[in-house]
Amino acid sequence: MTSNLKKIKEIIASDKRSCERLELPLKIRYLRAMSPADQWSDYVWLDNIGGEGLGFTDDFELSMGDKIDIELKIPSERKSFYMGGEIVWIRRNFLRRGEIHLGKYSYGLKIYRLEEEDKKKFEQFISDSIIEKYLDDQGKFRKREGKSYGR
Amino acid sequence: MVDNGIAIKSLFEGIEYRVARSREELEKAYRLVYQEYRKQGYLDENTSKLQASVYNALPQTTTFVALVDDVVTATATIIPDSPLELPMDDLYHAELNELRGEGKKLCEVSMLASSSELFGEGVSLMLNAKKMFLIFFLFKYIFDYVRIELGVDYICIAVNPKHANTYDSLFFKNLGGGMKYYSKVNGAPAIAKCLNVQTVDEQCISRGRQSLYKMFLTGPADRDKFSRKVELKPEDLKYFFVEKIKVFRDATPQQLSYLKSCYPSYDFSRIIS
Repeated sequence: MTSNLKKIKEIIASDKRSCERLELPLKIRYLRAMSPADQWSDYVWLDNIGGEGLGFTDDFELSMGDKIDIELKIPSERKSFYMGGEIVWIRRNFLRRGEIHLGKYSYGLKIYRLEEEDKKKFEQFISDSIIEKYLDDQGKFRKREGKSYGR
Repeated sequence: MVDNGIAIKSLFEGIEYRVARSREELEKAYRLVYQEYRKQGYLDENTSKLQASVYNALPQTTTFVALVDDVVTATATIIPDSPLELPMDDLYHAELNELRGEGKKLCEVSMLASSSELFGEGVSLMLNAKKMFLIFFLFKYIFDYVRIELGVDYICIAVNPKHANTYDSLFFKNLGGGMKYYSKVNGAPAIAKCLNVQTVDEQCISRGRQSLYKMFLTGPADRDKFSRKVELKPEDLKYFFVEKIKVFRDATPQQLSYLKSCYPSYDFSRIIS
């Protein structure tokens, strides 16, 4: 195998996920299990989002395997996206002195339900966001990753 | 952890996009198409392990490649309209004729393939940065080529419906004619899409798709990518379309007649014998 091809395969193989994860200033709210049908959580900021899932942090305790309904607002879309997600990853956060409270639990969620028409728009949004992240205004790769939107 | 931006920049520094410049590069492109289409069930096995058609023999047909050193990792072929029409005329002749009737200049993008050895199965193009850029950069050079070198009005393509979302997001519209089953790819479903090359920049702006504008429309076109395109000599035509794949044997008299007119100095009796 040529050296460039080997390098490219190694770079691709080093990806932990098949879909890019983006840090974007987006919020979700979710319907908590065992809650009245109209009791949505407060809006929480996302930690990251990709085509297959998203990460967020909140004080409310969810369990592995919980399925929750999510409302995701995207600036370029008038209407929110409603999707079904399953909790596939949980981390308990312990604060050290002086740290900002970000939430007791960080969650990784896999999207398992999204209407077909919303799926098209969602994928387009992710694809556009990937281009924004990596390319400068001249269409060249940025020297460093695009601005990372945190909280 | 390495900054992913540095990794992706480094990855694409190793990939060269341009027209195929030799018989060897064409053969690698045709082999990649054959391999990937076989994996999808689009082709039956053949002894040459190559995929090409009579359209590949035309001098105006152009094959683009994404090369890593001398390995073709992605490819697509542009077939301008001609008296032989386009491959997708087999299914969408009436719809394409409507555009022709308006005086529009057409081309078809065909034989699009990327190496599944790099990304594996089931990796979504729109959601994986590296796969997306691999294909989008190929598209960018194709788009520059058809705009600048060919001056076409519409890029047409017959796509499997499972890829329709990708093309819709790039402003391709349905050509009409609905979904059909394409015998050339073992009856796989296809829908016809077309892109109005003249209005893409307006659409990017009016629909707030600045990212697409940045991806496909900024920066001067690098015309060196289109230079030194391989010109098929008589021995190349014989090699691909007589010895490797029996394209000339199966060609219609009309197709052969037009081909001969494209190469007036070639002795086809020696090529085909």
